[in-house]
Amino acid sequence: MSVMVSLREINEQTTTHYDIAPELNLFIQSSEWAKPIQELFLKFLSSHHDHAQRLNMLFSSTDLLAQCVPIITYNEVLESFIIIYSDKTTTPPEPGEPGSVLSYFRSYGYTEKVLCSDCYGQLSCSSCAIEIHNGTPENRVPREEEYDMLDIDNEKPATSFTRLSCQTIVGSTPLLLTIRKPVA
Amino acid sequence: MNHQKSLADQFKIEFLQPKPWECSDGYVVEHKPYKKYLRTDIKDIFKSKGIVDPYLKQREIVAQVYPFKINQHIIDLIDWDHYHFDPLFQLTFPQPDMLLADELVRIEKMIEDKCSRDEIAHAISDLRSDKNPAPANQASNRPIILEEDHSYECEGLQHKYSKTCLMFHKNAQTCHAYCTYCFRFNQFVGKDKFLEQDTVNLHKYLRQHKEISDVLITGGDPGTMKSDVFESILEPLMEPDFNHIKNIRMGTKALTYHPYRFLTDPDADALLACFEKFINKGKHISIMAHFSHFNEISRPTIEAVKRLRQIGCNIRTQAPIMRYINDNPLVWATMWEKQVQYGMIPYYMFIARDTGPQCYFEVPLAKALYIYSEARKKMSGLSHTARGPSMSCGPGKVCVVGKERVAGEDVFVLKFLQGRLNSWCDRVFFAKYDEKATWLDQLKPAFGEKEFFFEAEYRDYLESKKMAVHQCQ
Repeated sequence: MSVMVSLREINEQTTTHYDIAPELNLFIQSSEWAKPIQELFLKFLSSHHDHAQRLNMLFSSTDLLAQCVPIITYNEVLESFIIIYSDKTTTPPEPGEPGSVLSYFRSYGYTEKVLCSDCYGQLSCSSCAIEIHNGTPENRVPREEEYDMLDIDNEKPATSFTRLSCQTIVGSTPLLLTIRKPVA
Repeated sequence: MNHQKSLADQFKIEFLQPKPWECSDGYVVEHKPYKKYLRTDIKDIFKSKGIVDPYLKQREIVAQVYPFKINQHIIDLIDWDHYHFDPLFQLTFPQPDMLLADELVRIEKMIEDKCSRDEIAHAISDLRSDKNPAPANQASNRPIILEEDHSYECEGLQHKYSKTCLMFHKNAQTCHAYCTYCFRFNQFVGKDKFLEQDTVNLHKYLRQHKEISDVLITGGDPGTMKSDVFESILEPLMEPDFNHIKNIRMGTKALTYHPYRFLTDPDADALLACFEKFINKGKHISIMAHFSHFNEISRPTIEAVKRLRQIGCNIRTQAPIMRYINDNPLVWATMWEKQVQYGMIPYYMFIARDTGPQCYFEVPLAKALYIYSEARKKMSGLSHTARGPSMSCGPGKVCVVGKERVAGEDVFVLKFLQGRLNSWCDRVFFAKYDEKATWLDQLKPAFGEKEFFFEAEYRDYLESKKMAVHQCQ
């Protein structure tokens, strides 16, 4: 299960109050997302109570979190949020490392337009770079070869939050990501 | 609790699963999941084999310059009891002598001095630049798409020989493992990219060029592409607009590096179905398979060959002749003989290109010619189909046909198998015999000529190409 919604849609939708679980609220507000993006995401939850309810449950139940880890992403290019409720009872085998962020994006039907991967997750380019703006992947430290690829990206110079989505394994905690625009 | 269960059920996803492949004799090829090993895994590979490798440090440095990638299938084919001399170990693992002694020492010292990552990366990049990373003027093969208001050069297509267009799809920018002698090593380290984002330019260019009959899908290795990408390339080519496209070639080493691609991979059936549909439309698919040594011809490889042939693909084989891997007539004779036995067609013996670790692998033209001739003598005529030894260089594919004495001078007899200008194709020419020469640019014209017949025309061609590209910008 997953959803993708554009900022334009969020701005057009009417919101009604919905209680956000404190854990979820803290996760969003302590993230490296810019404040306006955080606010827009919370606004999205206020207009999509079904997702707010799902995320509330996941953030407050460790049993459920063992089965499903939410990957919450802001895509700067498409100006959209994507929530993937990743099935942790199975491991998508590819592209990239089994269970990688990229493998989950592809498994839930998100194509190159949403998250690009020129080399099909073979660690031969840096096109699938993401920023981890909150949460911890299973493999916290990139391998040397991942740094090699991040170093050569002139379109999206690496920051301290940058990882390759093909190498970043989804762990047991939710992830909050940004897919950046290339610099002009 | 029930509510939680039903919520969890909503998150379930399913994937296509790999399937074992049952052979006609009942033998079952079990799926071997593709798992890659990279530079920082080298020490663990040796450790897993109980080996203390005396050159580990040097190998790790060489692997920073020339990209290293291997997979479990290849690891399992290497004879680890004699790994130093194993041809597949030489084919895939970095060797200390692939860099000059002073180059190795320079990087070693930087590591000892605890230089920063950036400083070391810079030094490595400089080293790569010294290794002629873009041989044979490949960039000049990029064609120009003509449009009324906006003509442009295509980054991921090459059109060097009139009948054949090369396509480098962005999903074919890597291989299942890297050959240490790869002449496209710069593509794997993020430089000198030749890549097409999609198939739009390919189809547009082919529509404009009815003289093209063949499309060579290459990379990297297009064997790494998924079946849906092949469909996006091949489906449109079945339309009447593309009646002039008769042959699709797929340049790949997947038959030896990951034969499971055609047997047990989750989308293997879809890939074969896509090929079969194309063939049933009256077109031809030729797998241009890179085989370096007969040790690569394992049971899964044989079965993958059988399966591809069953649907109507032809498999043509090619490899460069490389010191330490296959610089022996017996290796080529055995390899070609086996290939013919399993229905493949030996196609080319290439000369090591003037790039990367050429100094380590190079075989002089004279020796290559000897190996080629001696190998042929050991086989029946069916195995005599391989052309070579051939140099793929800027002006074209130049074959060393023989050594003769003409007008009192020892000469190499050379022949263009393909020419950058079509009129050069099949032209025979002569160079002074040189026992040590390893590449065309080391040869001198015979009989006192100042230059080879094609050189002035080649210079003019490059100049005019440069101007055409400039006009597009």
